[in-house]
Order: sequence, then structure tokens, then C-alpha cells
Amino acid sequence: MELNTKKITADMLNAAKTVLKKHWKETKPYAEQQFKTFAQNIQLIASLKLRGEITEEKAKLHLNIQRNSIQIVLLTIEGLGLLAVEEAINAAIDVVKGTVNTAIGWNLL
Amino acid sequence: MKSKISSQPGRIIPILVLTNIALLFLTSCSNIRLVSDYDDITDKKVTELQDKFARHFVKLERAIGTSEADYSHFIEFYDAAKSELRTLRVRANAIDKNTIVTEQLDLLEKNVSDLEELHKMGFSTTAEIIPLKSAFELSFTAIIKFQMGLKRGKG
Repeated sequence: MELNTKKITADMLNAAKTVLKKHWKETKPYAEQQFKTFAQNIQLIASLKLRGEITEEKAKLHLNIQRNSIQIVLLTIEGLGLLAVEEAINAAIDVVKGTVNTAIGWNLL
Repeated sequence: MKSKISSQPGRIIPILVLTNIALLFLTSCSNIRLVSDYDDITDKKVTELQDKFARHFVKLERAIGTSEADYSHFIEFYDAAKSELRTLRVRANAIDKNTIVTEQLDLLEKNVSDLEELHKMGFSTTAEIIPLKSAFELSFTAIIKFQMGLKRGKG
């Protein structure tokens, strides 16, 4: 039995697409919520500075903290994306494994 | 009658070699890891730190407006937090493909230093604590969320 490369490619693409779609749905609400909180914090710091409750030096430190925090959030989003890609690759490899094993008639992979 | 294989040795050997290479590749790729494995100790320590910071902000908010809010009363907290973060950072650095976690801990360390600087200057209003508390919650939630992701569906 010959391996159908076109079918393998199509199955791999489908497996990857399904996984990535699934993870984007999970990531999007999280990202939206964190960006909203970040914006609210920036607004609070600006208000404190405008009211003269904090100095410019303090405002800069406050903004540094906010910037670093959103970077931590972005790193998580990046990491979750990598995990989704990893899952997609492994799902695609599983498809190949299944097809190869069926083609040769025993569990080689 | 000779078999096809024995009559074409020059052709069959490269095919077998290529097949073996392909199978070796597929076998070695059967469990791809783009990011580090889940580390139980990192997860637990970060969660413990999150709890310590939550308590820190509660204590600070209650003390603002009194001498109890002075930096001198919190030196021990900052020393311990920085030391714990350093230990976590060293551990994270020793784990393969763990760049995301080490970068997150670096940023958290910078935030602790900036928070300490702000505290040295003094907090005159609880309104100043709100964005700080929120930023630290955001950071810890993000780090813990990624740790949960690293479990890769293992619960």
C-alpha cells in the first residue's frame, strides 16, 4: 500500500488548524481583560500625577511597573501560543504515525 | 528465480537508508517540546510569593497615614521577596527551553525593585496602592496561567 502524501498533508494541516483555533478562543478573552486592566492602571497613575498626589519621579516608577507587568502578560500569551503550536505539531505527527502504521500493517511508530 | 531485491542491490540500499532516516526523524519527533516542561516547584513558589505580596499590600493599605507604613518596617519583606525571586530565577535558568519563565521572573524582580524605590519615597495615599496592587496581580496571574499551560492538559 502506497502512502498518500496529499492526504497526509491535508490531515496534518487540518489537525494543526483545529488546535490553533481552539487556543485562540481561550487566549483572546484573557488578553482583552489584561489589556483593559493595564489601561485602567495607566489612567489612575495619570490622575494621581495630575492631582499632584505623586511626583514625576514616582509616576515614572509607577509606569515602569505597569510596562513590566504587561510584558509579563505578553510573554504568557507568547508562551500559550508556542504551546498551541507544539500541540499542533504533535497532533500532525500523530496523524503521520497513524497513516504510516496503517500503510505498513503494524505499529512501527 | 531471483527476487527483485537481490537483482537490484544498488537501488535498494539507498531506499532503505532513506527510509531509516525518515523513520528515525519521525520517531525522534514524536514528542516535540518548544517550551519547558511543567515545574511543580516554580509553580508552588510563585503562588506562595503571590500570597505574600497580597498580604503585603493589605498591610500597607491599612498602615498608610501612620508611621507603620514607613519603609523601615518593610525592609525584611523586600529582602525576603528579592531573595526568593533570585532563587527562583536561578532554578528557572537551569531548566531547558525556559526563556519565557526566566524573562517573566526578571521583569517581576525589576518590579519589586521599583516598588521598593517607591516605598522608600513614601506612600501618602491609598489611591497610589491601587495600580500597584493591580499590576502585581496581573503579573502573578500571567505567570501562574503560563505554569498551568505548561501542565499540557495533565491536570
